[in-house]
Amino acid sequence: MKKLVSLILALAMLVLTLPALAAGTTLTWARGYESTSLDPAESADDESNNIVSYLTEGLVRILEGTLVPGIAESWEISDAGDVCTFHLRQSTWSDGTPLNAQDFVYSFMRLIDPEAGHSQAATGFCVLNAEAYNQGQAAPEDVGYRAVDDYTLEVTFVSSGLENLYLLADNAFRPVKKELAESLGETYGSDADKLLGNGPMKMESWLHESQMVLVKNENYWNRDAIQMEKLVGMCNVSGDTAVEMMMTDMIDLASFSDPTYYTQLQDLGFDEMTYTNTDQFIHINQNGRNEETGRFLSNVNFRRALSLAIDRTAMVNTVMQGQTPANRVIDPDAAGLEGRFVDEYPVENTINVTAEPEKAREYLALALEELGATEDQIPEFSMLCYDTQGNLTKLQAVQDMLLTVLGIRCAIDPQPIQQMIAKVYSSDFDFWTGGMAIGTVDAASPDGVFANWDVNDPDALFGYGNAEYAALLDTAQQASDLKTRLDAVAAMEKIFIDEVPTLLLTWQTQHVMVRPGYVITSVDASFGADLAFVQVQP
Amino acid sequence: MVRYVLKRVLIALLTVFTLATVTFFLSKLLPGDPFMNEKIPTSVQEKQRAYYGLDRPVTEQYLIYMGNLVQGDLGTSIKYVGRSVWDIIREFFPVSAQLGLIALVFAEIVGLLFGILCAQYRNRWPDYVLMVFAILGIALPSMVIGPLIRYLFGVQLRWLPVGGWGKPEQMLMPAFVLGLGTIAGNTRSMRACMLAVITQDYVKTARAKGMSPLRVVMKHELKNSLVPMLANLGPMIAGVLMGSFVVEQIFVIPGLGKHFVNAVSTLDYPLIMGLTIFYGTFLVVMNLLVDILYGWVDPRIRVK
Repeated sequence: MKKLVSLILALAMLVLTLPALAAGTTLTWARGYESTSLDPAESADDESNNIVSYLTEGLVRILEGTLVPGIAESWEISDAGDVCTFHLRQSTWSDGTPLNAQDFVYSFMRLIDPEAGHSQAATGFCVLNAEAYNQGQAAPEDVGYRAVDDYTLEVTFVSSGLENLYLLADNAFRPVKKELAESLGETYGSDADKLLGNGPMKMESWLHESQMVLVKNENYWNRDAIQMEKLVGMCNVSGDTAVEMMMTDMIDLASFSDPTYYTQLQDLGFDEMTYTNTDQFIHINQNGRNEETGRFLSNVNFRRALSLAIDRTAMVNTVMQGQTPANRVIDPDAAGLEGRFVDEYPVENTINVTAEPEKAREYLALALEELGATEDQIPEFSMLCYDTQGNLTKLQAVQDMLLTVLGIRCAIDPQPIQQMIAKVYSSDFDFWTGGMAIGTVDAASPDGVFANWDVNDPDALFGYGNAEYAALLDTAQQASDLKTRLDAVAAMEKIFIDEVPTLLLTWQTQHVMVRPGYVITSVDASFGADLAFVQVQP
Repeated sequence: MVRYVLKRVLIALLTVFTLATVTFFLSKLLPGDPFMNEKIPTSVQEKQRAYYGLDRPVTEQYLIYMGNLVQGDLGTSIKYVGRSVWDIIREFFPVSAQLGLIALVFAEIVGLLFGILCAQYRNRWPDYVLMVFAILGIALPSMVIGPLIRYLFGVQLRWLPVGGWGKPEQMLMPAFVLGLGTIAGNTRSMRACMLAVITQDYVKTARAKGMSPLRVVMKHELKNSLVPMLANLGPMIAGVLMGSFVVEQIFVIPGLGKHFVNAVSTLDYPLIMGLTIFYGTFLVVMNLLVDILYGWVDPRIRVK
């Protein structure tokens, strides 16, 4: 009898906990927060960018990590590599009206309109004279866009790099319909009835901070590739709430980086897809927040000592669970010429994943000798962070490691987000913790890791100056063939590991948990799973 | 009575004006800038500042803002591009108000009932049990009790949905959690007010005349105990109806509560100002109504 009762109870538990609903053509997913704007020229955060990419289609699109044709059926690149001529397919907006090359020219010029002050304007600066026009120093006709005819568009870029086409896949280069954009002004993209797209999905309803419903766009040029009839986004759902909503069949998909959450769903039989989405750093301000701290932080041996004192494995086991200790800058998922970058470009000296106290102290002694200083002259350093529990525990661990191994004292300076950024801009920090995107193409992309140490960039924030490194970055970004680019990336990585301009800690892995039956075909390191192209298992 | 009301209205207007002025300058004193972003070049940030008029002197910004305010224009949010502050209030306040109203009615009824019971059974077991409940209600924050009951009723028992808004069953748990603190406060206040009334001569007289205990409570004790309770009602209504960041977050409710917090952390100046003025005005109006009601219930207050 007892056995029977146990069996019934066990079966009941199983029925209650297993993902109950079968996959269908509607997918409900957890959105961490509300989109701030669905205007491609203003869409800045991940939750806005995701939706813009479902609602619109640019000239090209990145699917499964590869650049594929979008509205441009084909293109030719000039011999010099800086002019690209796109041949557009005959396609329509989601309301059925035709879309042509002039629509793209209007949208691209709107992005950099000097009067509008669009937040994403800088994305357009890869095009000839776009930045000058935005700054009021060039006429609109000087900008490198030309509609040759209704279905031919010529774009002249500033450089001839491989990057150009990938940059055009960015959401900022998605089309907006002139009549609607001009009638709505700044309110474009702020509501369901205040936008019009040409992408795989179209907006059915948008209840702000609550629920967004997207339905398949039957006028999309590639509609046969879309299986999802409806996508329902539940806003402000993350962490515990997302787990419980998955368990109670309210949602089908959610993303997590914290194992506290995704392991529960793993145990319950949900499917999982993982990808590396950011590098986690503690940045070093080599100018220091004052002359005294800058004197030490600008010394390469001092920085090497700091890096060697950090036990990255211990951090992953305690305060950064679910992440991977970084032994080099380029993550294991990054593509190389044919296979993985890390296999094709091995490095001799990797970043230490466990602490090496003796070596750290040797480098510290060397630094002190070079600086003519003693240990008791080392000042207290300031560690700036956005005030979250995760950041605080991470910095407390590093603070303890630096004190224990090297006797270096640090004070943690937690700040609200805008105040933290203000401190970064005014160079009021010695260390600053944060994540950094992997980069559109790779670490050398303008939004990639290496670009943050570009000495030619007036907005580079960390005070690192290395002419060889800067030249390599330039080479990578200008290269028109992949090998030249990746060779430069590999050389930059070696300098990076050797000179420790920043303290790289881990690669952060994102876990997309999904109800069995849905197949995620494409993920983007920045925005996560591409839900418009989710397939249903037959 | 008319003079009393006019005086109160004038004080209310002055309060809102002072609140708007102080909030404007305090928000400008916060370090940082809403457009500072390490991913956006400084030249583009300057364009954005100019677009929102934040490149002008603070006093000029203040005069423009107050001029617009007089015309009922609260400006446009910086974070939610293209959305006016009024749009945001119009969309989210009804949700918070609906939740708050349910919580308030529930809390008032239960709180008063518990307070009466505590006073009637003073220093006996019902008093102790209900006071323990009241203390727990105050001591346990909604960030603890919310996830607990969500897990119990939403995940384990599956009686109620874990989150969301719109259906009656989605309102029960958040209203309970939001009302819990108010129940506790009301229980304690009502108990104290009742105890003060119970010892009055007219209550003793009523009892001596042989009036039934229930009639004594309803006719004499309750009516007179409610007068001091009115004083708390204005701020309580304003507080509960404006939404709760924590409860809305736990139960995924699209209310106004989160905007109070997020507006400050992202330095969305128009939203900070708009929400403060809206909340302040609402609070002042509620207090004004309570003052008028109080003056009507107890004429001695008007004379003072």
